[in-house]
Amino acid sequence: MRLITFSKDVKMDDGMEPCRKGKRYIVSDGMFQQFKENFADGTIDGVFPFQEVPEKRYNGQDLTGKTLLVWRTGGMGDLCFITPNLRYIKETYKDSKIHFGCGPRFRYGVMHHPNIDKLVPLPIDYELLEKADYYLMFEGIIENNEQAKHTNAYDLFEAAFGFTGKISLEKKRPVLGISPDHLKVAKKMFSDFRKKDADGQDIPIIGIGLKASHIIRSIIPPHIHQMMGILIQNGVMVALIGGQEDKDIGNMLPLAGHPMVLQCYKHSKDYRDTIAHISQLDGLIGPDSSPIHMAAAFEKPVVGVYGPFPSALRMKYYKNASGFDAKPMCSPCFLHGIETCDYSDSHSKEPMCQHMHNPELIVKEMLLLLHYTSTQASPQPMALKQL
Amino acid sequence: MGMNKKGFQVIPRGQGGPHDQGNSGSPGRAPTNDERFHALEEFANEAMQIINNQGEGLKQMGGRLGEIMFKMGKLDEVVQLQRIALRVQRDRQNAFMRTLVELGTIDEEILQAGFDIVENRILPITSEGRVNGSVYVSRYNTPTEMPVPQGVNRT
Repeated sequence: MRLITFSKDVKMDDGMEPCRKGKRYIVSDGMFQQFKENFADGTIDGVFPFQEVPEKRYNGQDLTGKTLLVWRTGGMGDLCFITPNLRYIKETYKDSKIHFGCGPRFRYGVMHHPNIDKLVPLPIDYELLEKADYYLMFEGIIENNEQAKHTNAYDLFEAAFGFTGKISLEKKRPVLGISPDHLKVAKKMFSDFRKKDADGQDIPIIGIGLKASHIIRSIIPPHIHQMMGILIQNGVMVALIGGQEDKDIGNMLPLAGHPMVLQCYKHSKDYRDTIAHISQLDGLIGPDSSPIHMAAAFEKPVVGVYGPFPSALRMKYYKNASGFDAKPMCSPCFLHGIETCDYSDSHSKEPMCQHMHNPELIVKEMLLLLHYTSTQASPQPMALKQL
Repeated sequence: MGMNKKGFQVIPRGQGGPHDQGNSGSPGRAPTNDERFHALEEFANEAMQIINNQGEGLKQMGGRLGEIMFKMGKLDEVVQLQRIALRVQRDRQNAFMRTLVELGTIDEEILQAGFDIVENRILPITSEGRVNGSVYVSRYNTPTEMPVPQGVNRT
């Protein structure tokens, strides 16, 4: 981490206050590198060491009437891991205030969060830290942390807050807020799409998360296609969950245009749409990526498909959840952000572990979860038909 | 204890042979896994450059490989050799290993031990290219009455 100053006002993102000339901002090493690469020479005119303020670094202190500044760049799934702690703070400390900072793309995912009082942009204005009673930053808590290889992510973040043992197991789940406008649009979209079965009951809609941020954690497209086919064959509707950046995957799926498939990713401009879409699902199958954590926030039945590291490190506290863990002899490798591993396919770049999964078993598990967790009177578990 | 065709003495680990000492030459300190793999990574990068040139290139590589094998111990080096061969070119893995035997750099016995290790699931891919491993399902806070589908390994 370091402090920087700019030689002029710099606009970071639309709709956000620009960084002002001469003010000090806190940046991570990764963000600093990005600025150096993307801004013209001379835009950053001062670089200073960032000195921690020990008396302000948060570690479980009483926040009654106090302000806590929290930040992490992203991704959206990692921000989900922080949220149970925010709820705990609000439930425990009267009149506490939470100021939350994250990267521009991710702010849409926390914009309507019930426990965040003020969303602040990155890079963090140093004045905000000076004004806050306490601060806590989470850059590198998973990426550069050996503990992350054997500690559940929620436990990691809970420990960082100083809340170990204080949050009940049922509350170690993500907390999300939904934009009312986006929810209204999503409800209509799903209502128009949903069909009824021969008994007049709503046919379930199962979401499939299209892509993780890196290919090494993503479900391979042929498996997505097979799962779609099996679900449709069993009379279940499918929603393809993602964003605009997932269009390339969507275009590879021959069943994407099927009448039983809703291409939600095409209607998702930012995370507000994705969250609203997931809130309308009856269950979700996905890779290690934000949709499964979002589904867990709404206590939807969820099936995670994992390879490089165990599902327990993410899903252990979720309700009505199953994790499929591929365990070749090279696992767990904990590769998270790189594109390929030593055993990735040389053409598709898909890792070998993702190829090990069985789409039929994954769908079977999803349908079992659906049947055994459904609150409405549901028929016997559907027998899987042959494709 | 024995000698392979190139005259390298093969001493089982733990009996005070050279490979019980570290690459650094410090008596009593076995090389760490990082040191082992770093040295082999470097070798693999060299190998990738020259393996496409058969004959002379492989002979050069064989000598260096023998040196590494002598320092690092029999079992690990065969496993790592397999890994290197995978990195180089999968479809030429067997040819690569066989050539090393022909060059006298490693024993047939060691080569077979390597394949045995692979077949016994030490490495993720067998010599025939099959994946070693299984898929397991873990359930988190699910209804206890949910049955386990056939074909699913439960953790």
